[in-house]
Amino acid sequence: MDGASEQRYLDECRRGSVGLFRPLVDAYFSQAVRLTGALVGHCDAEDVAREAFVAAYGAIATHEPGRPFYPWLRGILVNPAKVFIRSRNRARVRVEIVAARPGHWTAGAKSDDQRLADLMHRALAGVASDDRVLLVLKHVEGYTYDELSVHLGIPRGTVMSRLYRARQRLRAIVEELDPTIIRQQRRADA
Amino acid sequence: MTADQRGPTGAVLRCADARVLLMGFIDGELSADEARQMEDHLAVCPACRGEFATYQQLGRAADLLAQEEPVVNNDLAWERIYDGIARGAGWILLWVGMTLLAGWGLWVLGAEFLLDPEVPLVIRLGVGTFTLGALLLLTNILRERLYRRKTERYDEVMR
Repeated sequence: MDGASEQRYLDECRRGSVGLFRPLVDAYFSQAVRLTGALVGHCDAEDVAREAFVAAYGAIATHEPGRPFYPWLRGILVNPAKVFIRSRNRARVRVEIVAARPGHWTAGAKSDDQRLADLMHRALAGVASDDRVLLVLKHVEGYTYDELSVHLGIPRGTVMSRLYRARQRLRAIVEELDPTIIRQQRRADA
Repeated sequence: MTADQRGPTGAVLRCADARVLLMGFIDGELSADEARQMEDHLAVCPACRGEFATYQQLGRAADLLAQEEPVVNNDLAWERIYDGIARGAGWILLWVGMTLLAGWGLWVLGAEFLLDPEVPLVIRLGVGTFTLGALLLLTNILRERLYRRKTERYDEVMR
């Protein structure tokens, strides 16, 4: 979707049109599901993304005209995902269920990649929600340290040290789930 | 590596500092000077070199999540999002109606019940304090929710 059409749809939504919110859903739902999938696991990714789109429509008046839609939506996506993670943590849902991959999700062409992506999902499910958000924004959404710093309201150095801590935790879980996988990958790359 | 080991450029970096800078090095976020120090350190420190390789691999594995392609049903998604939006409007109308009715109820309670000299004082006091307590609790919950929303660190995540 080009920027001009996107802005036109957003303007119409601000004026109260619900129907013209659909092209925005069509354009960004899949991308949103990828992000929520990394945050809450495949099973619940679509539910959380849908909830965020509903919230986005409700808050459409706060979207600054002229700004692209997806970065704004991303800010909204993170919140229902965090609420969901907390409620699930309380319910103690098993990691295997959380990270189960529906058949229609793909993770690159190679099955090795898919296996590794599945392992990362299972490992991420064991990382605390704040650290998980940090890791996902970095690796899935491609945030730079400056962007993380500005938008999480923490100094750049803190971003680096928190990423270190989060990755330490992620590594510990990955090694617990599959003690050989990282070594195998290193050998394969060498 | 020990603190006095030096890399090819003579720069000294302790392992503890190198481990934190390692993240920036892997992500390409260090200044040229810091990156040079890291390269020097990795050249002489096998332990940190091992950490570098491991975290680099972990980063590549995490990057795979960005390549995932969920296949979604946009028609179904839209149907449910539309329902959610419509339901939201319904809730707003319901709350507005309830607020108006509650306001009217309080007015009636105040004017016709609490000030009615025919109702025993103890009943009036009981109903009055009960209503006041309920209102205070409700206000407190609302205030707490608003405060949480305002101070939630990730609420404004966007770029």
